[in-house]
Amino acid sequence: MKDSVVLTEDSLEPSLSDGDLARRVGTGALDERQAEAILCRRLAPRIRLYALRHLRDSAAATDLVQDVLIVLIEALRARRVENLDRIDSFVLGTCRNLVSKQHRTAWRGATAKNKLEALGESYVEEPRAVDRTKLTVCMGNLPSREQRVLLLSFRDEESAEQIARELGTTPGNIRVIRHRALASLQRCLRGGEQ
Amino acid sequence: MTADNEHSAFDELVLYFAGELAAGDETRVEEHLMGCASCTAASTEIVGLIEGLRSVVPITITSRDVARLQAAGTRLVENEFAPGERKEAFWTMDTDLLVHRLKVDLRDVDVVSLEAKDEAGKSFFRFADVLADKRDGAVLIACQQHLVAICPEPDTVFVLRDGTERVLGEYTVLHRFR
Repeated sequence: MKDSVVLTEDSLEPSLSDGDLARRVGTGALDERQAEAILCRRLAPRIRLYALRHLRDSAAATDLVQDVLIVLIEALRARRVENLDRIDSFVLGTCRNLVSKQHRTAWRGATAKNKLEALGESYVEEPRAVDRTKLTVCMGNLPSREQRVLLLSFRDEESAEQIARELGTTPGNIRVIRHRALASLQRCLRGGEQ
Repeated sequence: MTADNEHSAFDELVLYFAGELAAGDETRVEEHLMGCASCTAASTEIVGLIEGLRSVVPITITSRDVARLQAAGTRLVENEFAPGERKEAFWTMDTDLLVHRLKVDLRDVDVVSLEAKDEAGKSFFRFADVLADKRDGAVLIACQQHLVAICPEPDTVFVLRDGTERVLGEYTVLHRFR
């Protein structure tokens, strides 16, 4: 039943798994490009999260998303992916390989964007940034200690141990403060009360 | 901690993005995130916050922050205000940030609140517990152009109070362009 559904822009099918979409690529099906586009739009945010965790740089993360999607699309079109129901494992493995390569050499996939566009689709949407003014106000609403912990943790990238020494407390307490403060910020930015 | 097929809790995701999970847990979270749309959405929100925190300049900062901003190339101009002082502070085309150094006696003060209002008394915002530079005896206001959305008047009165609402100082900043 799922194979007989032809994907169009108006009939994006959320119940189709990543594997179902991957199976349509490289088959010459009418909706092959649609399946590619949907699959890439689903995977791009997940790759980006992995990239931000390991590369800690927004521009590098965007590059990695492009690079991994190129590898994926080319592999799917050439029908080189063995287990289409574990496409997430293939993508995660590709992420790890490319990040490892980046660490070993100064290589960056600078041409990946052009290559991705040459495949015929623009798959990667940049996520919307948090409203700067709202974030500044929400930060101001936090107790000063929580503000400091957040800034030392994420802006200055200090460890919980370092921050604990600076503020005269324990690393465990710093993590509690950090998580509480992030949750408060999240609620404030969503429009609720802190 | 969650099992393989369970969604990652907020705390675990924060630990993951802070790089503080043990190797085995990190692998488990990564494998789960790569296949889970709802945890991806939750993580995207957390990461958006973290990315914002990397570049945000809070309304009150410390002297260490000033040094860091200058080292990063921020073009900032500092203005010092004594309690009760009313004077101009100038924006130019070459200014990214104005830092108003409000001198204040912080001995025996644990908590400092900040209010911003116009000269007629209309309050723009009030924060109950702001960063204060005890060593320097000052509260540093990082005045940024995008904050005109919450502080629309060029002539701003900043009021510092302690935890008992006692006024520590009032400072009037007349923001001008040249």
